[in-house]
Amino acid sequence: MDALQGIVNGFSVALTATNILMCFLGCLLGTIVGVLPGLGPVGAMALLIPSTYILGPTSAMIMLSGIFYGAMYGGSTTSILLNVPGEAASVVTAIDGHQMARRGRAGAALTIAAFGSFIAGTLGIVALMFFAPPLAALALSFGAPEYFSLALLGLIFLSQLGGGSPLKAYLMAGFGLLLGTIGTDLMSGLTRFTFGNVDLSQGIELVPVAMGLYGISEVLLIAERITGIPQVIKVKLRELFPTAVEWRRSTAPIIRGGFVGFVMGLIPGPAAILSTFIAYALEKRISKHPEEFGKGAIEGVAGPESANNAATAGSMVPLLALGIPFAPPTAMLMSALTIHGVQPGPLFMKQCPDIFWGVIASMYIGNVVLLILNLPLVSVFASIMRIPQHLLMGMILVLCLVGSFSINNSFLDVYILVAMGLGGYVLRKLKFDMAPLILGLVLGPMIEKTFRQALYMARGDLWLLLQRPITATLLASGVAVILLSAYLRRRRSRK
Amino acid sequence: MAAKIQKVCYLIFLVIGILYLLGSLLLPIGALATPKGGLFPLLVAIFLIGMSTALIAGFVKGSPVAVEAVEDFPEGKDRHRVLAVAIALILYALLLKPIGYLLSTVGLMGAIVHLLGLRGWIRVALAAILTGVLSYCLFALILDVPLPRGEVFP
Repeated sequence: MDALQGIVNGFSVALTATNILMCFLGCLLGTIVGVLPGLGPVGAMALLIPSTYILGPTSAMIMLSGIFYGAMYGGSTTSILLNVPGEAASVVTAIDGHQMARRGRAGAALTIAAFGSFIAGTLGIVALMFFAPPLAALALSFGAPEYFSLALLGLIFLSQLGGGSPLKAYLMAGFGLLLGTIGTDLMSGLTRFTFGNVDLSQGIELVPVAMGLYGISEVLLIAERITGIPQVIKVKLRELFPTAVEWRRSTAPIIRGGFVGFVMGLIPGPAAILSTFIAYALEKRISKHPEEFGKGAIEGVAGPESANNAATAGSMVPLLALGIPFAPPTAMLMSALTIHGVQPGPLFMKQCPDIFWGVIASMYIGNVVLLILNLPLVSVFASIMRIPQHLLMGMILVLCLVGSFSINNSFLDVYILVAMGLGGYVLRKLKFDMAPLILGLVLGPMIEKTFRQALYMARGDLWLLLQRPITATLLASGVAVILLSAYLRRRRSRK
Repeated sequence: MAAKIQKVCYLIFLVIGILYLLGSLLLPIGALATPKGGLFPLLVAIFLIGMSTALIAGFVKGSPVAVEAVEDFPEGKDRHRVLAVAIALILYALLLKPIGYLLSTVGLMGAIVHLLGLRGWIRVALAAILTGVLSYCLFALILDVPLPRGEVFP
């Protein structure tokens, strides 16, 4: 099935009443999550995975993907109007976006952010459509050593590029791998680290871990600092139109941001966040008026906002084509697929074309929905910030608790949720990145399985594995990233 | 304060790594050509011990990778509030099985909304009962999600 035939089939799936509704719901929830600082798309996806049990896998994926890319749209609203980034990927937007708002150009900044997101997001989906199938075809020739090295590379990149201490990130990744080994070893049937607990033999579920680390810990962080209701800059509908000059100045940054975002999305790591910083730096460097950046340059809104949306499309490529998530939001999507009994991988496109193409087609629809939702209703979304924190946090807690219990009807999942919430609070205060832990837990079983299969294949001869060109290249890339990062860190500390 | 907690945190991970190592040594490890279920946990344990030891050593030497600028933990009333929320969550987890979803959720919500700023006992009680009952109706009765019924108070 070629890409065009596939996308036509995809639209026939995505345009059913249920899937349109799920797409709308996902985009709406994503925008709300993006507007609200704290929870983020990973926490929201974790909260909603249990509620997708009543849906089929296609509808579930359409809704959860909508939350992922919808959050990128919503994040810009509070960045521009309040200087409070709803999402980490919208931090950069606040720099120039809020300055524009203070100068009375909030409407223009919001429109450019929304159109930039729409154009770059759509271009990203086009690239995803044409990029994923050949990559999946190439991945069919991958064996266990290639998969092992690719998954390991994902963990290395995410740990190195997270921004904080790489040692701490590796510690988190190691802890995630540890959690992934608890339960029944699928290759031998051996139960490991279960202490005789029957519930533990099924392994540690991702959902309570993610809900604890992102949801419960957020409630504890909020409890630290009770704040009043913020003042939101009001935007009228007629103020939303940018001037011709603003449009002209934004066009090229949107295209460049889209390109940067998509490429960054393909690389393991926090793509949506990193791409915004790179796009901002790029625009500032090539601008004829770099002195305007930080004071309300529209390019500083257009570039990063386009980049983070294209990055979400890019990060879907490794998940859909290889079955390997390179970032926590795609790890949640993979978890959702697995819960619905679907195994992502290179055969996913052939075995489940309805899900593969249905999700891609829904992303086109979702981008249109988001554009419609985000512009006229921008003030409505911004007013979500006026909901009292105690009510919002109460609702998040209830969703976390019900969601965790309902996965397996197990009290153990509630205990894990609370333990991860309390631990996550302390770890977040100590600047530990949670993403490597999540990815370690998701990729751990796969890394172990492919590692052992690779050892069987090579009869224990590690040198034989390194003679496979793709494996050697991927592992060498991992080593190079570690060395390069250590070198740059040392040079920076000497300065 | 935060720096001390940071050091304790590294030590906890070291202890976890050592205990995990001991646990993995009790499992069949096999050989490189015939790896068994204990090999991967053994490698992960060594990795965890290595990373936590490196962080402890870095902390002692004052290396920037181990002594990052961390957020201060809250003091005074703010700390009490966070601790109270944490205790409420732990109590909830412990009471969920004996008293079931409805009672424990109403209790937890009462504590949380009060701790997070809602004042006036009637408003707190109303918010807690409404959240508990409405969420029970939504999940258990409408969405048919099984919720814990409780052993003592079903």
